[in-house]
Amino acid sequence: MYSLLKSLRLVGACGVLLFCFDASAIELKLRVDDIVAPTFSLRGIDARLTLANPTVLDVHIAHAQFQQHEWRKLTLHCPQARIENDEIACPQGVLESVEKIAVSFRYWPQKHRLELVVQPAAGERWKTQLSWRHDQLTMQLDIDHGKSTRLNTWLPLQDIRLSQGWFEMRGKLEWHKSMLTRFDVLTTLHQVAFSDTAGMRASEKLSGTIKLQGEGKGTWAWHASVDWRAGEVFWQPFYFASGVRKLDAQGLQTAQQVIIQQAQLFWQDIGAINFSGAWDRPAGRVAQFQLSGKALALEGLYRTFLQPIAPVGTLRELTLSGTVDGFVSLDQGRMDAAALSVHQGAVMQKEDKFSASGINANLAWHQSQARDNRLSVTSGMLGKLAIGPFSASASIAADRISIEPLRIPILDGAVNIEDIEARHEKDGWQWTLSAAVQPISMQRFSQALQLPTMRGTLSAVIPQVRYAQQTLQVDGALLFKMFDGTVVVKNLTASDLLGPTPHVYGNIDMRNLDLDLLTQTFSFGSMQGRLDVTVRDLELFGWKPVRFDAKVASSPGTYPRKISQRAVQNITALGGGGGAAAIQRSFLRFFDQFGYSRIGLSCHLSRGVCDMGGVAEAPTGYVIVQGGGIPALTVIGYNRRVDWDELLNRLQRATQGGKPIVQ
Amino acid sequence: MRHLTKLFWVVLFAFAGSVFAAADLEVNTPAISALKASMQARHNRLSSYYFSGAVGQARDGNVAVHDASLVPLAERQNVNGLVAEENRDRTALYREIARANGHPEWEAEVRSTFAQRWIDKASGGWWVQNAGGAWVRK
Amino acid sequence: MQKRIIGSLVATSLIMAGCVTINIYFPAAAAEKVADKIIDEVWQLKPDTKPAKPSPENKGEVK
Repeated sequence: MYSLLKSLRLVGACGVLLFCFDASAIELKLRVDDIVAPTFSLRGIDARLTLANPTVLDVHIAHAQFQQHEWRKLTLHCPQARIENDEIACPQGVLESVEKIAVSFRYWPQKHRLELVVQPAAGERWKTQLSWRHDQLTMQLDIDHGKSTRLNTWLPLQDIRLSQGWFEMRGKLEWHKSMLTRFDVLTTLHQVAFSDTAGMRASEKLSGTIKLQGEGKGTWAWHASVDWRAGEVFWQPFYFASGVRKLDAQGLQTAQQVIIQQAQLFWQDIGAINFSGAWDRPAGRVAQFQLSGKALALEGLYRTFLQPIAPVGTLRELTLSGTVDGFVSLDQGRMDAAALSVHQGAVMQKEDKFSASGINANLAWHQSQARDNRLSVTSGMLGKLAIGPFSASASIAADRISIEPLRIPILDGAVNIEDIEARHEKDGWQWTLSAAVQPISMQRFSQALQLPTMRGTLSAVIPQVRYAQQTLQVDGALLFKMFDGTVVVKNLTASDLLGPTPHVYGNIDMRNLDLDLLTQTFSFGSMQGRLDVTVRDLELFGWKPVRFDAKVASSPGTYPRKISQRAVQNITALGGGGGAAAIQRSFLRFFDQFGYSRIGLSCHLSRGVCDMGGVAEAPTGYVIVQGGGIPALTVIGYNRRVDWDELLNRLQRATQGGKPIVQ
Repeated sequence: MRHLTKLFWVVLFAFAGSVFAAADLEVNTPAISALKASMQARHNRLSSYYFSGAVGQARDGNVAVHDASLVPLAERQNVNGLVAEENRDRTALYREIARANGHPEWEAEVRSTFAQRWIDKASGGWWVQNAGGAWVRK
Repeated sequence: MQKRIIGSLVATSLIMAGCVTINIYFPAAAAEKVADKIIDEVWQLKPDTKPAKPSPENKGEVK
């Protein structure tokens, strides 16, 4: 009896006994004082020991606490308790709190050891061995087939809940007084599913191992290695499919800082990234951080990490290949320096709007100093236009980029771009540049764009281009030479260029276009003469006109003016036909060509309707071709309002080689 | 005094008349047509998410992810992408309608009008955000 | 009396000013109409603009 008392005292530090004698068996009621150990406490303990065969032990605990976790009203029932001098055992106990749990324990009072096995479900086994001496507590942990849901109370992110899967855990932890001084825990996860309430951070069938080791008093030295073997994770906005990823990190932790001395992350389809750094705990920010990687696969890096954070639009629609070496450094919460080398890179927009290959680049950035950058591209495509090899050198600073003159070959010519500057203003980056197009043969240009083959050359001078907030503005005039005449584009602006509603605005003046070349090119039926075209208030959407005020008229001057019968037929067909039949009925059918003095047509396009006019007014109509010479032929239009799409259809039919529509 | 009052009413009606005169809004522009076509094509992919409740009509005239957990994990990024694209088009649509009518400053009002109509016209079973910001099933 | 007239004049001009602001105010009803039309198109609602196609059975009966 004395030994029993003594042993209970050892557990409870001090005990008060109440003896109650029963007729058949001796029943002892014990009131045990609170047990308060460095990391756990048991309060309000009542024990009842029935000395029969077998001995029965019942313990009620009003309040139990382990670290910050607590339980209320626990009952332990041991139907086959064994109470001996040096051991108290409960091999088939039942712990009742919210649910009934199979529990067994063995306690060696002299050795200061407790072995506790909890089996909350079939196959699930939590075994802990505690031993203590003076201020030292050691815990050996073995968990088999632990339900992942039981870890929910220990999760650092409170809105995330584990719902499926199981784990094994083996480890050893040591406390001195109430301070954890050493741990070495290996956890193996199987088929784990977690999710937050909105499903924005979730996993399914996640399997892998997590090994955590640490040692220290005040300053900790730690080592973590995580091996992700299977399972998928969605962590808004990133998605990681099943694959091999490994993280190995070691560092120190003090009251002031968490230090990563060195760490390596290996990511399947990307490569290995090394990093180190320090987190300032009182300030709650990165004190310093360095990251570097060599020969990382650009394709995987873009698809996994860059594409999801890119804004909707072009930057999300790329396919990249090649490798990069990268370096990023942060200081006091801010990016300090970065460098990137691209090797044999290629980029392609998914709808083939542009592409480039053979990209090699050395790019660098520093927050307070300008750095030199180089980029070279072997070949590229801009829409259907082939772009030749070019290279660029640039100086990049935190708020300013300037690029040295650049020559980009296009077909048999080139675009020379100069004075390329970007400045970081308060509303974003603002680019300026000037450019000149060195003669490109119109034949090759038009063929590349799958337009009717044109002759002549395309060259242009672009005095200044400004680009900011998706809006491009050309200052000065854009000058082209085509069809032996000149084309001047003024006040050209384009808005929402990379967005869903790209609009282009401008005014166009074409002077002295050679009608012969023009009509040959578009197989309209031969005409001779010179044309001026004036387009005001032009608005294009998706390269189609929405609004303009246009006027086509014979250029001033002296030159041969002839119009073929076929051209007349086509012109009249544009107005709805009928003219052709009129010619066929008259003596004019014997002539192939007619003379004219003036040709003119105007169209004010608005809301899909073209409001037409001609060179002069006629009774109830307007003159399109003013006859002159012999035989003279005058064409008069009567339809003032023509549907634009219908007009385009007719124009297309007229220019599609073949014969005009003659009913 | 009496004819002053009369004048008053005449003035009021004259102006009230002009209020109703400015009735029709122009929406027949190529930009608006292109946006409609793009949204129409996307609707086939979005509608199953509307019906499942993964995506709902937000009160600000956008769509929003309501419950991503209704969608398989591998598809959630795609849902996010569709939502972002749809919202880009909707924003552009409100802007283009305001612009097509010569009042770019109407964009916010066009948006709030649409916000209410998307919600009102949503099918039974779809999720919509009420005035207080709470999600409700229609 | 004079005061009342002045008062009425002030009121009238205020209301006139008020009316003028209404005049350039957002056409809410028209916007709703436009919204409904666009939403119907985007969501492919209301196929009732097209006449309902008679089903083959109906055709037989018409005969």
